[in-house]
Amino acid sequence: MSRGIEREGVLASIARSLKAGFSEVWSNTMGRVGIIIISFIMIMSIYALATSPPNVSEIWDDPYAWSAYPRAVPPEWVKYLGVPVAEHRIYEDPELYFEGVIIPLQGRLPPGVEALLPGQERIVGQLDINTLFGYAEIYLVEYELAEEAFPRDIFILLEPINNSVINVEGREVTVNVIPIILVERPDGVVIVAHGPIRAVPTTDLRQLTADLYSFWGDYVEYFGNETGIVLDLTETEAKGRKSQMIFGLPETEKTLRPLMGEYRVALMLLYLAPGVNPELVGEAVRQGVVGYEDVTIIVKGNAYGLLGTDTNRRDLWLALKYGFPVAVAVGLFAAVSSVIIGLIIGVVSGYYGGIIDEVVQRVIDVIVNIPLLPILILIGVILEETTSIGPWQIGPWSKLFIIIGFLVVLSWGGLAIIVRSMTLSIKAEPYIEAAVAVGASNLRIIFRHIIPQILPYAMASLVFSVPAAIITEAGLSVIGIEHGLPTWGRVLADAQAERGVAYEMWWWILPPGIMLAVTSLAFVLLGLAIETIVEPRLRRS
Amino acid sequence: MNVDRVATVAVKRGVTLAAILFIIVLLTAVIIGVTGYDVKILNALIDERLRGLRQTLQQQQPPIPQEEIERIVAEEERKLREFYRLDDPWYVRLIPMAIMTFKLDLNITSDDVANVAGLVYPATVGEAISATLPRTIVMITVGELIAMSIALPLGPYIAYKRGSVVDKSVVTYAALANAIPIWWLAMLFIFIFGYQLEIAPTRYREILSYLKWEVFVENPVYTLANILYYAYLPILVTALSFLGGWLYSVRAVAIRVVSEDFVMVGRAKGMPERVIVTRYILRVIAGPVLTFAILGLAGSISGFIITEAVFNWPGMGTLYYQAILSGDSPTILGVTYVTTLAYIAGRYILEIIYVIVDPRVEM
Repeated sequence: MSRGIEREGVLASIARSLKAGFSEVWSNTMGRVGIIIISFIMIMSIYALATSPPNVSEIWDDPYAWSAYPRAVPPEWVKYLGVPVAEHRIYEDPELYFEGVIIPLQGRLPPGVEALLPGQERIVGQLDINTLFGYAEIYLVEYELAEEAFPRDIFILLEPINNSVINVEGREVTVNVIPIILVERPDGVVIVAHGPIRAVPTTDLRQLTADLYSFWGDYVEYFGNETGIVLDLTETEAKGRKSQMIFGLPETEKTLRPLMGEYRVALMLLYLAPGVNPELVGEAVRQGVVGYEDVTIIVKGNAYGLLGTDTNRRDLWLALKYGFPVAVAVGLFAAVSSVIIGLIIGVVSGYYGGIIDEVVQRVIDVIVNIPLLPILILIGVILEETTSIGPWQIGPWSKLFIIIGFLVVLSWGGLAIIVRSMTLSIKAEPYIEAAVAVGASNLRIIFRHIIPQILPYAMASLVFSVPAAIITEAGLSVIGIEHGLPTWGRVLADAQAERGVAYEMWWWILPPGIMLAVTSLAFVLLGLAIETIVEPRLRRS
Repeated sequence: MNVDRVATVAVKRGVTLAAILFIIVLLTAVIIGVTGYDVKILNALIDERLRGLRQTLQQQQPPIPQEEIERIVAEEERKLREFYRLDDPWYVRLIPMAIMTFKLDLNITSDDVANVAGLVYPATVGEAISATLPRTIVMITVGELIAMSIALPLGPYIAYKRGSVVDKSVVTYAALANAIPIWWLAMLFIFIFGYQLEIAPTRYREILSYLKWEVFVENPVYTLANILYYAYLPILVTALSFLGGWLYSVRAVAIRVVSEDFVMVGRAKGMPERVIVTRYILRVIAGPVLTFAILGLAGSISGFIITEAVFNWPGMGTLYYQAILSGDSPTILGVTYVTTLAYIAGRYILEIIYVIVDPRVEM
């Protein structure tokens, strides 16, 4: 059957109206702002997915992964706001200052160590030179404290070679290591930040921090004499002021003042094997049979990164970054699903009427009377304890999407009701009757005449539903439901759990909330713009 | 007002909603049955009973030998397990579980949860809820009333001034209020007013000590002042958050009415603005505004529950929060049920009011 007029296909007409719709929305100020923000969010999501490691949620939950970071510090850029910042420095390949055998000599320092400790009288801490015996590797780094602030700690990360046994004349002997940390301060004092406490097999040493008890008593005494101020601290207070002592001077009985200037931090690894000549041990270390592949020295600053850290030392920027794709996935999935379901069921119910309509209306009546949050909480709590359903394993993403699935099931009702009444009023129009008279099939009428009219409204509804899902997920996290993924809601939930200290850390509670608000706002603005266009009565004339 | 009509609707709708409530409880029972969560709940209840029994036995005079106590407790455990049909497939427990939920025949299993209610452990879920629910309802109602009393007079006025600065700022405010989750607003306010400016408390649980009748009678003014001190920030946050939604919906509905002919006639006749608003506009918009209120109720309750948890305010929200943290499954089930009940009851009341207010509606 040929017609005189070319008619465009359904897809082409949809594309054309989408394009027209887009330019209309763009010309609306609110719409434009919305679109810009949403584009930014999309770009951030792609960036986050590209730059994040695949097992983010495991890393987030693993305290060991964050041990090298400072705890509860603000972002680095606070220095531009005038806050004194002690730099956070990571020395990845520190200079190997000395390697060789050390043998205690009576009253005199061994040569390699002598250069390091020019004034033996100025050593503060538990270090008996005469007990140093073995093969030593000394790493040395320089740190500048340029502002009146205290670094948070000294931290050493070691990657041991996977072997601590050497073969000496047919015997198998384990090589042990004694780690020592020395800090030479601008005032010439050398503090024993970690004394030779105990020897462990080389493979057992992976992390090291400053040890209060290596210098506390000596410190109070030495500086009591030097400055006349005797520090009077309880054990808890002293633990909190550990690095303040290393990097500062007593100011009052309870407080200290930072000592600015050039510091030298030395890590001495003293290798020994019982009954074995240290020369042989040294040989094994030099050959790489035992020892450490990687040594990283970290001076933890009092500020870190783009968004600081929380009380578990986690870099908040990571969670904020990862929150973007999760929010987008959750929001779009929930909105699109519930709108599609609502649209289809609404149209079917309104168009076919009869018993289908009755049943659908009853079902919707039930659904609409179910309060969303309590049910989601129940589902969430049940899921928290589940690791598998039948034969399938449930991970964080699955848990999240099961919860969102229930959200969708409970949300499509509202739209369905409205779509149904719109369908009813369109159905009563004369052109529908005409189409039926000409012999058009039901499906054709629905897709050609009814849905195109409802679609703009559905689009607005979709856009409005996106933030609802994102915020619901965040809210669920805050009230304690854990699915395991680091999202903005999760960060706020962690803050809520630590509310005594977290509420003073603005970098913890402000950024995630702002991101949630901005994301919501973007979609709300977009929805308002679409609504304004679709409903002429609301247009500003 | 046609009493007959309202009464018919009230009864019909009431029956429907009761049926819906029953269906929902049944569905909940199915969910917890299929997933095995009901086993957890029942085990918690059984452990509670056994613990109580053991304690009673140990306090008996003359003292009962330990072996005997253990034997009695083990026997009781066996009987309870049989009673609750724990060793049977889940669908056997379905109806009893549903009935138990209805009657709130559940015990709390943790200390912290009882504290929220201001009770001493052990207590039943019913007791905890009857202590905390009124506090929550009061806060929500007060917040809604404040928001409503600001939005209703303001809405039509703003609808008049469409396109003006006032109008635009109201729309922006409403959009923002909708976008920002109310519980984060709470966090923000606690941060600013509590921690930074120190003009608001940071620990809200303390209000419990002022909610006792004896304390009030002793020194009414002081008690009242303290209650207000603890309550003002939550009320402020709640009202601010509800206000956005109310303003927007009243304005949206009012706009449609304001452009109607009869309003123009009223103005042409020289009627004062206030009369136009009250006699013409408010009456007409009452219906749709109530619809918005019904629709918004769900969001309000959800948001508010989380906000309560943020404030650590001793209401249902914090009860939920503590129960989730402590893994207190009977409480979680109980609170879910009561919240559903309250939600349905709220919608019912609003629907009845709607029918009363709008004579055109038939249900």
